Amino acid sequence: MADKSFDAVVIGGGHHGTIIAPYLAKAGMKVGVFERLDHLGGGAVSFDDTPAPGFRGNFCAHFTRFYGHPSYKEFNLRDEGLEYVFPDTNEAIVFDDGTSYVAYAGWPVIDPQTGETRFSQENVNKTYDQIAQFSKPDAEAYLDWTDKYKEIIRPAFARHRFSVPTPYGVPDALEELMTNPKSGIDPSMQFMTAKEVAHYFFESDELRILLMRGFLTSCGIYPDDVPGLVYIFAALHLVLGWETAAIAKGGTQSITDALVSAGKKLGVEYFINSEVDKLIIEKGKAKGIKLLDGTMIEARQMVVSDNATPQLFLRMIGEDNLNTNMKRKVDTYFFDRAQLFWGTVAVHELPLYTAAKNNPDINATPRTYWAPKDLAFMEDKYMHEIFLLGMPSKFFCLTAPDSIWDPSRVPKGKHSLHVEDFTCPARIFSRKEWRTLHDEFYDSMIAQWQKYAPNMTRDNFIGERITTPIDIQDTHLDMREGGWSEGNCGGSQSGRFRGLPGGYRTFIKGLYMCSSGVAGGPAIGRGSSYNCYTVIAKDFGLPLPEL
Amino acid sequence: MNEVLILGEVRAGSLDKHTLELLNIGKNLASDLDGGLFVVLIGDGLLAAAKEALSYGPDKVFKVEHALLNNFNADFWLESLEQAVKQINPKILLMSHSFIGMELGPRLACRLDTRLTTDCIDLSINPARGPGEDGLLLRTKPVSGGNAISVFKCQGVPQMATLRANVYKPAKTADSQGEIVDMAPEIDESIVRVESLEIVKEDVIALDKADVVIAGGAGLGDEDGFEILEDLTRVLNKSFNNVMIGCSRVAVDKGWISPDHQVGLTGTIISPDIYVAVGISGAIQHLVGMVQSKKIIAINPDSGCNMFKVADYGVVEDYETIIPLLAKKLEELS
Amino acid sequence: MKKIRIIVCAKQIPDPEAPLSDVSVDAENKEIVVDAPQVINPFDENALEAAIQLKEDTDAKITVLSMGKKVSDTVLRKTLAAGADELILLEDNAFEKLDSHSVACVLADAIRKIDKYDLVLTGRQAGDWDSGQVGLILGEMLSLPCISLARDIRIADGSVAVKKTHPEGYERVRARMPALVTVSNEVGELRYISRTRMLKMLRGAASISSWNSEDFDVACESLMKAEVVELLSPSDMGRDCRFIEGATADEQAEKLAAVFMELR
Repeated sequence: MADKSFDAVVIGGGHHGTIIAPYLAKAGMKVGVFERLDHLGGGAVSFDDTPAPGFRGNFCAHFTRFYGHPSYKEFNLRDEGLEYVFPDTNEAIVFDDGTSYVAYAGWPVIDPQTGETRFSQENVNKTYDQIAQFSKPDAEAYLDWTDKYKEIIRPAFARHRFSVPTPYGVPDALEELMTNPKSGIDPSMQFMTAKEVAHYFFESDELRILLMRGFLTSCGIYPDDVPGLVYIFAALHLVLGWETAAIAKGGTQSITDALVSAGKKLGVEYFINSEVDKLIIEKGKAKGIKLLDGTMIEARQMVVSDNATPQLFLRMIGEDNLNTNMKRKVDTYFFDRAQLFWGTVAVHELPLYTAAKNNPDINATPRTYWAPKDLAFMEDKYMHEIFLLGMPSKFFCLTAPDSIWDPSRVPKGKHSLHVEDFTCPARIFSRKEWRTLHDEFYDSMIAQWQKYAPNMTRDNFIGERITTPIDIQDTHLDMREGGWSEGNCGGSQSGRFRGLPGGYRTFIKGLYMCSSGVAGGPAIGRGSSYNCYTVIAKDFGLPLPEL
Repeated sequence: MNEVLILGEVRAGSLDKHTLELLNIGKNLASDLDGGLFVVLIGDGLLAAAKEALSYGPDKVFKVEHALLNNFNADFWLESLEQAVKQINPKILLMSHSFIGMELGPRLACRLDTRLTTDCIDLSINPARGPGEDGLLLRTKPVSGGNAISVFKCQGVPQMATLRANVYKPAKTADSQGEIVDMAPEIDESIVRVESLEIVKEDVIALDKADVVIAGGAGLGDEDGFEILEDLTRVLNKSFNNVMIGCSRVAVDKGWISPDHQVGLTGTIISPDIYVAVGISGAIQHLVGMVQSKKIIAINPDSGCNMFKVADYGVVEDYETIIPLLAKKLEELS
Repeated sequence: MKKIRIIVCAKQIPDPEAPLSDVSVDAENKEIVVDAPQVINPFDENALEAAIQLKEDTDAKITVLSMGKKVSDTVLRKTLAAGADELILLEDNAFEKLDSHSVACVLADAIRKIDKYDLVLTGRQAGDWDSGQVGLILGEMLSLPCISLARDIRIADGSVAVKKTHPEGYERVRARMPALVTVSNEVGELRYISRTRMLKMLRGAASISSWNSEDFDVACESLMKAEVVELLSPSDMGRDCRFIEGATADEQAEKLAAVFMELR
């Protein structure tokens, strides 16, 4: 006899669990969400008094555009308190020779209420001039690709994000572009490495470096990895600044708070500190879950899992219930990319870059890299050193001075910045070594940052909360090896190929998967939960979601 | 030769507690083997201790006496013990996993060309029969930081093991029919290779003597957390003997507390009556040091932490909330 | 003054700081499966640190010996980056899962081949089997003066002076070299190795040699494997956590206090 009963039981109150729950509830389901940790939201979480008293730091994601997710309109998340600010500057890189590049949003937001965007020729011209400093042909290439993006790629990209993958052989929205001569997309791009893509698109060292670093940012792909079509355009639109930057007021926690608030109004019940132990399967159908404390929860219609492969298939279902092919898929799902030194630092004053003498905007760009102008290092040594030593001798560091646009996160007059550079899988070092590496990263970061922005001396830092892969692996069971993305996002594990055969519909009847471990992939606001709901709606005759 | 010989240790003229534990398990093994139980004592002026040993019912107490054996010196003691064991020729030789046993055990095993298992928590006689199997000692020992319990079997005579302290109950006195046998070792100054210059006494926490250990880890947040634990210790001292403060390695690494408080692989390995783990998540390296405690109480706000997997009692709560309340309640009760 | 030669024995083990969830017991094959990176036994790192401290004051050459079926030179190269001069890996299928006595046998034979040395240092015990035997047995086999549990080591006039941990504090002892000393953690953690140095050592041609059983005079037939009759997981030891719950922390405290009184 079950202790509780719901129409739909959601395992995991992570980001996608919090998205799908209100969709199911709105369709009339009685929904229960069961979360192992003491808080909801997964990657969209902020903590108070982090990294120092009086500050609020994002635990994981902070570059989000959730205003573009269909649920934003569907559940009036703006009214639930999710508010975005939209800087005009977008992406920047400062090099060690004093040069810099700022990308201005090609499609700035004209209505902050709805997130509506409009193409801006003025910003495109500004970005053109920025690229032209390094290479005229690259600047021309930017214009050419911007045209293609505007007319062909952008609509395809939008359709692709919130659609269920087509059966293999039937081109999806992006694959269709390969046979469209006007798109400029060549089928061989599917198999190019990030380095090949960088060389294919640009001739200057500067843009090549930035694009390769952009691949790391967007999907943890190193120069010799194959990103696949999805991430080629994800990375390109980052570095060329096509879409506007956006900052969630109050941190990414606001996304979770808004979704949960909407969910509660629709009757969703959320249970924290409620670790799921097993999935109850009867006659090949998911019938409920058993919590670690023995509580039995009945799922009258379905179980939806916001877990990725390791927890769902290996722990809750059990290896013995998988067939050989499934087992092989699970065993060969890789977890050795996207590991980061990642976190927030609290500072007295923001970095003042020497390069600002040429363009003051780089002191206030939401995503600012500082990096050596050393293409050969990025291509040949960056990953090599990371896997040998835990970090590169030269950082290609991403920083985000979010407090400029959202002062609510910091005490008056102070600032905080997110920082990120890459590291190797947790398994390569012992716990003691990770503790040393953490300290070493912080020290090296300060030492190297000063070369670009002399005021970033140690005295300027108030505190830090930087996590290493071992911290993530310990607290997030699907983040094997401490990567942030529930598994590598290379071509063979991204797009339509992500996750196990069956995708949102698992091989167990009534069991669905909505996490970033299925098509849609990692990052806040991606399509997996929306698409998963679409599939459920079709299976159960529920209303289809609005796009 | 089916005898069990134990090496007794004498502290301030009388047998130490762990020798009584050896006497207890030794008696069981001797009875399983249908053989005698012997005790060997090393030192000078051992008559009182030997008589005390006899009161626990062994068949013989060997009194190895020499002026040079007055204080523990590994070279003299090893040589004397080797001579005695060769003469007595027991089937089984047991020592405490003590300062003395840890030093003499491996060296003696090498000299006798036999195999030793250290730090055992249980010993029994191999039930299997057959050539090379009869009467072998099965040696149970936690390995890999207490994450596994391994039972070893080794060839060689005598069968040798050292026993972890506080795991077995001390023997009770029994009818004594036994005899005291004097042995004079052949030793002289020339065999000493390591010269002892002086023993410098320090004010150290002897965690292995504690009956109750209140241990703090990373979860305390800062060194002030130990003050809260100290308060609890003061109250518990009214109801228990020897209540001491322990800690995990992280607390030492962070400089919150001195290393002599550290429990675990790189600290002290203990098995007190009660071990209270406060804000300790339970890395292997810590567990190895305390997993054999009689009762384990874990206090941690993270219900998923490993410590709860080895604990008898768990409280999922912030220690800053629960400990002061607990101290108050105990104060009322005691 | 003549150059002192120090041999440090270092064992490679799975990270002893790994959490419980990374360890499982394969009872059938009597094996412990640890899903954690290999590290140098922390006590052996202490021994290496002691050797490097000696090298700072004395003209010394440090040789690191590590033994196993297969030893990772990536893990052990760290010893070179920290300040050791030479690394000898003793690798042979016959060296797998040996008992302490046999491990000491192999190490003793390798040390005899090295021939000239003044000091042999080992950690006081290893973090996997927690035996604490190899160092002392090795000393006996090589007929060396043995000093255990060192927290401070000095060399002068052909002697080694050691502060050895003692139940009441510490004992000052002295022995003529060559001698064997097992090192305790009080010596201090292995020093910080800069990334530049580590990179140089990982990439560069370092002095590393690998010996199998034929390269030195080891009598493989005399080696014995540790015989495990049974391997249990600690959960088989039957601890079942009783969670003390309550509507308020006060109620929890009251119940917990009652537990203490029961255990008195």
